[in-house]
Amino acid sequence: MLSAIAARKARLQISSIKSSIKRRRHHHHPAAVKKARRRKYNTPPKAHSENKNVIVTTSESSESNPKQQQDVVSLDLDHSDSDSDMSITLDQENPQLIQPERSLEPTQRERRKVWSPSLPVVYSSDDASDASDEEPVADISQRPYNRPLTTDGPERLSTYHPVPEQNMFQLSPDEASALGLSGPAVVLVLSPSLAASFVGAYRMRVLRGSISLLGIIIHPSRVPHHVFAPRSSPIPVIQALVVRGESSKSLASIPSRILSIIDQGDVVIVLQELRTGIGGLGRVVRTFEGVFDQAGLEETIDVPLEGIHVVIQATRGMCAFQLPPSWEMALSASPLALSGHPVGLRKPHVLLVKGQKNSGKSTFARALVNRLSSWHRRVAFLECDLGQSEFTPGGMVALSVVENPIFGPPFTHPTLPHQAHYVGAHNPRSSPSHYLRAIQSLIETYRLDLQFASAFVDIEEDREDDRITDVIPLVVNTMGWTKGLGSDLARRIEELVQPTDIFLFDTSPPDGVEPDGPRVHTLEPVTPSPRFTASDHRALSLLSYFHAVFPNPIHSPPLRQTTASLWSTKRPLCARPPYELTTRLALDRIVLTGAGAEDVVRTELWRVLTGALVALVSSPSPSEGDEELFTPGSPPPDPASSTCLGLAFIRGVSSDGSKLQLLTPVPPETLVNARVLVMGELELPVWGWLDFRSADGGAGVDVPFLQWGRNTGAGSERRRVRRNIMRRAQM
Amino acid sequence: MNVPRPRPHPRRVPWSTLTEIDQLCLWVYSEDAHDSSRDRAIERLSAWKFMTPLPHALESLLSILVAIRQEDTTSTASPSSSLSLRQSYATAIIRLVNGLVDPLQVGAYARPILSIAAQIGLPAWLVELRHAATHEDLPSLELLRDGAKESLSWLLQNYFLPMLNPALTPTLPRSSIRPLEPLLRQYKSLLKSVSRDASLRTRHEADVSRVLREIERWLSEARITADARTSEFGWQSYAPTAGDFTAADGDDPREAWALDRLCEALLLRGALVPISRKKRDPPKGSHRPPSSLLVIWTPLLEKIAANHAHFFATLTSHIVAHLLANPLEECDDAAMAAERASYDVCLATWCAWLAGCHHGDEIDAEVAARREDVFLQLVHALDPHHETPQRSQQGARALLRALCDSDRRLAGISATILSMAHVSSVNVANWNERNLEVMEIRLKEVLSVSGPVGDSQPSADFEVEGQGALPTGWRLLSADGWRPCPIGKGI
Repeated sequence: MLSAIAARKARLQISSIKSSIKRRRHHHHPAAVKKARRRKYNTPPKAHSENKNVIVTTSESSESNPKQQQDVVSLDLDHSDSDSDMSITLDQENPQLIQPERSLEPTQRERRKVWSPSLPVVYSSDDASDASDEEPVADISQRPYNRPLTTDGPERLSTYHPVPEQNMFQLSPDEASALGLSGPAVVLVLSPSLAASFVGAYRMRVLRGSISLLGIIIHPSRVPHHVFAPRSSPIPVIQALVVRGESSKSLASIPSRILSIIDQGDVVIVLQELRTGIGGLGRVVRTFEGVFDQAGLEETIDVPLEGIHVVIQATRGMCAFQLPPSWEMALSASPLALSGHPVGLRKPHVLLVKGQKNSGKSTFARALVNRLSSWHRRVAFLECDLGQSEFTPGGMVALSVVENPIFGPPFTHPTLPHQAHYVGAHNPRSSPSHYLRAIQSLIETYRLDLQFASAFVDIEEDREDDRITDVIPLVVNTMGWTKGLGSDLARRIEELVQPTDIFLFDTSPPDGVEPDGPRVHTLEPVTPSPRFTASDHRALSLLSYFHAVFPNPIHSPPLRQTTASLWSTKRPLCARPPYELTTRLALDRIVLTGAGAEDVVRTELWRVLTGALVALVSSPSPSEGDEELFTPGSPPPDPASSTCLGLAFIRGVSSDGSKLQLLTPVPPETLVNARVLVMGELELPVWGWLDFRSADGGAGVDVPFLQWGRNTGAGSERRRVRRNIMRRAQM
Repeated sequence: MNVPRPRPHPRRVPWSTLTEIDQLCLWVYSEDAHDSSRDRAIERLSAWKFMTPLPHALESLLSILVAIRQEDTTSTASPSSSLSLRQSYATAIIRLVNGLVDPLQVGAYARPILSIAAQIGLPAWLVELRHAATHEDLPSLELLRDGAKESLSWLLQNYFLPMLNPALTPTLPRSSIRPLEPLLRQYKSLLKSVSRDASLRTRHEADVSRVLREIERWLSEARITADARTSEFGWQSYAPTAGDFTAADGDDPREAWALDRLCEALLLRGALVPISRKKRDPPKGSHRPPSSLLVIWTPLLEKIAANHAHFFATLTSHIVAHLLANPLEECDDAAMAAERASYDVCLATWCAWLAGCHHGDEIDAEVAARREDVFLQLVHALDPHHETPQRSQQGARALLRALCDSDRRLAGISATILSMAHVSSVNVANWNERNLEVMEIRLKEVLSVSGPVGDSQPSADFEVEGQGALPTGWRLLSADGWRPCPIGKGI
């Protein structure tokens, strides 16, 4: 019966190819057709006995909006050969299955989802046994409203087409300096409700009118926004807003030649190059090669700035950023708007974002921070997701201070945390209680040091800012591990954080709201682009961190956001001069944490540290008589009295352990107290070991700890875990 | 070509060189291995395990060694409960067997463990022991001890020895796949009768789907065989789950191997290309395969493509490779040559069909990419100055024509290239500076046709600025005093 469906599908494809060809003549948007995706889930339902051959087709909306339709095709299979009958019933009873609007030919990835008993099933986890990463395929189907971020994205990313001297003006140096800009600058004039999208990295200022970008509205100001728009993430769309009433304020000093030709409601923005060297990361992590470059052969008129490309139409693997309606509702809900409390009485909001993995938590949390930063001078961010952190590399819980909205995926804004604790894994499975203690310590830090900090710390610049300075709200991003121990941990975190608002990615309404409890906002989940896996993103974030150049925070006032804005990728990590540490002088303690750490004996320590990713931790000096550098099985530093300053990579150890060579992007001035090294389960991705300057990554050279070529011998693979294997009896 | 072949990529291993594996092997297995050397092995393995996930064989070795050592020490210290000892042994054996068998569970349904064990040469009684230890009474200490010994020697034979002496026998039994031809023949005759007499359709429908399923089953068997034949791959280490390098999901070597075998079978005479020469000719004025062939083969091809994303790409590249192959034995026999040419032309029509030529310009990105790949390969190989007998490339030329007829853009590019080639062939003897300019101009012409090629980001780069005050015991090695060397080299 299975093959009947597959055969049927094949026939459908042929017919849909024909129909789609017809449609294309009308639309001229092949991308749109391709995007109308059909998601299938090869999920055997849990209850089998009665329901043989169930085909469920749920559609959120009518035919008029076919793109939103989601269907869950659950096949409960038996092996009887009633194939032919079955395909006929399908025809008659479920005409919706034939959707000419649907994809004419599934993309490669989707095609693989077509279920077949002989089709190899993709392993659901990598061997890091990452709790937040491995969930059986079945889970997806539990979210019937789950839909890709891309689904009803505009097929055109830009409705704005740059035409020199009509709606795009290159500024002369004089004109630019009148606006307070230096370097090449291009002014774009957007008619109301036009949208413009760019790939690359750019600085942007609004001169007149207002725009919306990644869910926040930007008014004219002197503050340039740094936007990173790689093709690996949803492309930010600059949407010119229709002017209402007095919001059409405009900055002076727009060159008169431009002023003379613009219409009443036109929006004016200025773009400048943003040269950070971040594009070089594509050479390091080859899976992301060229994500900041132009898509390909597409014909466009480009803005005359380097590293910025107009995208008219989405090409493969690219999609526009779209704010789902429920997100917009949650974002504009009351607590975020200015509350009526007089200054001094405001209670800071503590906003907790939670939901399953891959539901869009991080994206939403970022939008939340951005929205808050429209009113607040500073926003605090507590990262509890060890797998995919927003501001720090993974493996740590971190409390960061954000001063400006962030436009870009996490790897574009590595930031030194205000305080952080290293857990040393992509999930808290091996050390749940340490994880909780770490969060507790960060919450205390927030309550003591941050929430009313500005009242005690007087910062000159704050006076010029018209945003709220006296309270700092907190956004908490949680991990995606929401089952079993994970749900228990999530509950404990909630108790620690005591949020005023919870943003919940869930389809079922919360069961009973306590009157005094936090407000709960329900959000619809989105699925991220399938082009890159979580481990791809982790590799990129970590290597972005190691190649980043951080400003020296010593010179800046307290409560400053220290974010890297430059990347150095001229040399691979292996060719950088490292720091050399004299172990005896520089270090108090070395701690190994994670499963199996207790079994590492002293004589093997230096071997273990070679090639290790370690956290640099500042912790009180050990008491007298406790001066052993390494004690097997010793616990990690107590979060209550320590902080993690950053990560380092140990590239070499002398045979007696007296000298260590390590690489770290953390400014050395801040490392005075980093006298403890903590090694966890995290590793530097192999990309970081390679010399990207040679085509084969240095395969010719004898690199220790790396193996090229094949495995000989049985069992030379790492163990793989599969949780979606079925027994014959289940059929 | 955006295709299934992954670049060879290294993976992280815990040993710095193979000598360390050798050392470990000696500690455990050598004649004079003793308790303290096995303790060293346990320490080393524990350290490695903490550094990076271990290959399964080493992880199993560690648990077996630990169980053995546990017995040695408890027997002397206190002869208390044997239960914990039995549990240690049992866990070690269960995990060993599971870990070896699981990677071969590639289908959606579980295969019997015994059959997989037979495939990899794991003694059946270890599998039984695993079963007993998991589901039945915990086996006796004696049996478990024997199981541990057996496991140790199995690991030596199947992991350490092949690893240390790659030249030595691959001890795995080389399984072979059954031939696909009978299945294809069966399929063909079924479809033929259905296409001739529509009334037979319903009667044969079940048969047809059964054969289709059989072919699908054959593919999955081929995948398993590919697994057992790892020695044929240079890139096997590129496992589909290899952590940081999770490739596009088509980049599974086993899948590629299975599809390759399938395509080879399809290209034999009597499959996609019929034996009779009369049935091969394309309909007049078109580049499609004869409709009699299309009726028979499209259901199969589409069905396979629906389940295997890379099938069409693989088939296309097989055909192109065949068309461009320049057989050494140019056949003198005119009849043979004619036969070959007709075969090639028929294959070319299939390739044109795969490249969506019958759809003209209205194809989606995937097909377009495929079409471009084919075009590039053809243009590259059919260099006008290339000295090859016309006939041997008749198929390739037919294909190129088909592509150009259906795609104006490609036709344009092709015309440009050809015309440029005709303009002048530079005589080496007359080489002068002018020629360089001519080349430059041509390069520009070609580039202007193909549009901008993905350019790289301006390579702005920023170096860490001069250091400030460093903490005690820290020193930044200078660029001149320190010579770059691979990560992990001792200092």
